Amino acid sequence: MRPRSGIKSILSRVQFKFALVFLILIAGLLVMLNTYPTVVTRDLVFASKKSSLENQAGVISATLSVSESLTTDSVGKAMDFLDLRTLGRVIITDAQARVLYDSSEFDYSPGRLALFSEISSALAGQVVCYCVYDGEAFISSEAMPIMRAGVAIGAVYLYEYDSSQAALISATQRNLRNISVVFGLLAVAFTMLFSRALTTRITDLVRATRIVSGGDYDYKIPVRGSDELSELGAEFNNFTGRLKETEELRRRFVSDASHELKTPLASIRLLSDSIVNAEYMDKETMVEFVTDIGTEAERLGRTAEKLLSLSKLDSAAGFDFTELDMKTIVEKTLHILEPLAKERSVRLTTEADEGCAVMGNEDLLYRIVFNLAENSIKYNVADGEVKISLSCNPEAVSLIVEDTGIGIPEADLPHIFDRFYRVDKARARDAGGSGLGLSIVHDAVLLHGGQISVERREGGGTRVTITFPSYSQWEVQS
Amino acid sequence: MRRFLKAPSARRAVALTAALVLICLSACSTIPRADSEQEYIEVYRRIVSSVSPGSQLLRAEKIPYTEGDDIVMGAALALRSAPEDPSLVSALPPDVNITRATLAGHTVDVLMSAPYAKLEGMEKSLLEGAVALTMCSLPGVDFVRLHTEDNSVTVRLSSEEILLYNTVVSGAQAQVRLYFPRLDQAVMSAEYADINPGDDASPERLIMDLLLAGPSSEKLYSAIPEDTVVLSVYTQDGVCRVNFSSEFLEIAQEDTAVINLTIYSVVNSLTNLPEVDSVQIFAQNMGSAVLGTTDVSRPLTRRASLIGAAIY
Ligand SMILES: Nc1ncnc2c1ncn2[C@@H]1O[C@H](COP(=O)(O)OP(=O)(O)OP(=O)(O)O)[C@@H](O)[C@H]1O
Ligand SMILES: [Mg+2]
Repeated sequence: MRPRSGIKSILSRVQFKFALVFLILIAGLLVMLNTYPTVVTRDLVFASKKSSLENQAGVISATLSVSESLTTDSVGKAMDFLDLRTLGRVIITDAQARVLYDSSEFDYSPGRLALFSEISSALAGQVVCYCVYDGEAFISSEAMPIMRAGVAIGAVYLYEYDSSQAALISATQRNLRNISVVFGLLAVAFTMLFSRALTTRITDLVRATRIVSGGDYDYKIPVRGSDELSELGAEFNNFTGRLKETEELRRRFVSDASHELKTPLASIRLLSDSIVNAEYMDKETMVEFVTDIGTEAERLGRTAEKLLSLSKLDSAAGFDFTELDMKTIVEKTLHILEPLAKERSVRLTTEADEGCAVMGNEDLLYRIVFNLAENSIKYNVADGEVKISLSCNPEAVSLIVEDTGIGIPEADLPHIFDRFYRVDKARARDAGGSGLGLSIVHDAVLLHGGQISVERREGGGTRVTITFPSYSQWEVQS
Repeated sequence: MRRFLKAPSARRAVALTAALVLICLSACSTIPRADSEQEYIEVYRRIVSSVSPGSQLLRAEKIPYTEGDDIVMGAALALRSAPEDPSLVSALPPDVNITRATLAGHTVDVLMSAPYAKLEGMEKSLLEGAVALTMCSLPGVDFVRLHTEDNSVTVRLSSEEILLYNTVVSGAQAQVRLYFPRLDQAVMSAEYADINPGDDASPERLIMDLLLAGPSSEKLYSAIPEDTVVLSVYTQDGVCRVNFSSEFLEIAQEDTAVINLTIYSVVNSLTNLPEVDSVQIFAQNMGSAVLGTTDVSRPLTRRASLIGAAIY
């Protein structure tokens, strides 16, 4: 069970990472949501406080700077005309920081020394403004000198405690926080559900892989939805289907191959047994039997050799490709097949264009032509005809092998390239056929980048058409 | 909020006051002179940089005091000396010196060197503030008189007159000054208290409630008889009328000085409100128009001479 727990831990890590990343993102967003608007509004309020306090202080300062002298009475009178109800406290001092006017309702302080840092700055000629937000209120103070002839004759000190703006901000903040909490909880729940759902789907895939690799090619993953994981599931099902097909092919091939090899071996065994067991055997019969054994052995050898070339073709390795003239190959092949054609009284004709060059392996091309021509001769009728035509254009070289033979029934056409497939078992066997010839042809044509088709010829017989990319085309492609 | 305004200096001031109270409770009860047990003098210094809102300009530094020396002159010398804390500087400009400091009654007479006469503006106020606060923190000192040899400048101050920070917090909340008689001498001292005036409670009513509740400092006391109730308090045309229940008359049993201080603690506390110019006191079943030596049949105005060093 070790690998299972290992996989589980990896999966839980994937789930963990996914959830973590998601949650970090959400947390970042929430932090932004909770700080940025507050900071921005706070700064806005700061700015507006500053300008409003500065305006009011400016008005007071300007009013007082033109009055004759700064006394408790004169300042008090001047201040009566100003509306300063929004301010928490207004203090007017003389040049010595002695309070001339104080709007405080509870700590009325005329005559006292207001030793505030703000007033000190103002008396030094500076305008100062401070604004802080303590979470409950905006607390701002402003101090401005009262100037006359370039000299500070007094100072204006304004203090404001504004809790309404602050209440607005904290209400917004509270709302945002509540929203954030709800949103955060939803996000956590959603992340957990979603990552769980996601990882269970991955776990399903892993389990399915294990089942299939255990040999159950029929196992299918239920595919829902249309996201990447569903695609992966569908692809997985496809893949197991293909695996199943391949596996079936392989099994059939093995059983076919062993059957094909067993039959000639059984004949050889039978013949040799007859010789051994016969009390007396005349020479002629003996020679006949031994000849038969030879034929069977030869057939066995041929089959083995064909299987070998097929497996070699399967691996598609070890073939030298060179520029070849098809016509030469066709003529060479036909030269070899001439005796067979004569024996079957079949007429061989050729119609070949000059200079049809292809890129290919000489041995394979030879086999292609040989197999097709051999079939056309073998499965022909007496006085039949076989016609081989070779034509080419700049792109492609096509080879057509047609005959007036017995033809292939429509139903057998789709299987004609299968290994060991023979239409008429008995007849093919008599003709020494193993059912591998067309398979080799097919694989070899594909290896050359070509196409092959077999069809029934109008007026009886068969036509096989092969097209290869021409030599020049091949060069362009690579 | 409060912390922002006052801290840390205000808190320190409270601590200092508490220390002072303890010292005085043990020492001042006998004679308010030569306090042989005081070990520190609170010397007010200028803070080098005060840039944050609500920060103070003056702060007390504790300077050890050698027993037996003249404490008033010791304070004067300490004011001149260089502070240990690098963030503080002496409140006296380099060319200004304290020539002599003597205690007469409750007033310290400070003779300044001649350049003092040339000081003006904030510089002068800070010096006076520092001297007043330092001297008034000494036991038995309530007032400071600063002058030069030729008496061309004479300033009389009490620590009460120094505002170190803004005492108003918000429209709905503020600090008020309440006066209570002092245990150690025949003056009253101010104490700050928070009030929250609203529709159901006028500032006058709140101040009276606080006065009846008594001081928080152990250095102060309230002589208003227990069970006294303020039946009504309201202001009209600048006159605040305070109507006590009959229990208030029990105060007649006290010393005249205590009676006077008690009456004026009410008057001075209420006249801190800008709309109150004078205070008239009534009591149920009041026979005589004179309480102690005070004629209460007419409105009483503020009497600042009775106010001693403040308690910050
Ligand atoms: N030209 C043709 N006319 C009629 N039937 C054909 C023709 N070519 C192939 N066939 C049929 O297709 C079957 C498969 O041919 P294939 O060449 O693969 O095998 P084979 O000729 O039987 O054996 P091998 O070529 O290995 O000696 C043959 O058995 C035959 O029945
Ligand atoms: Mg064949």
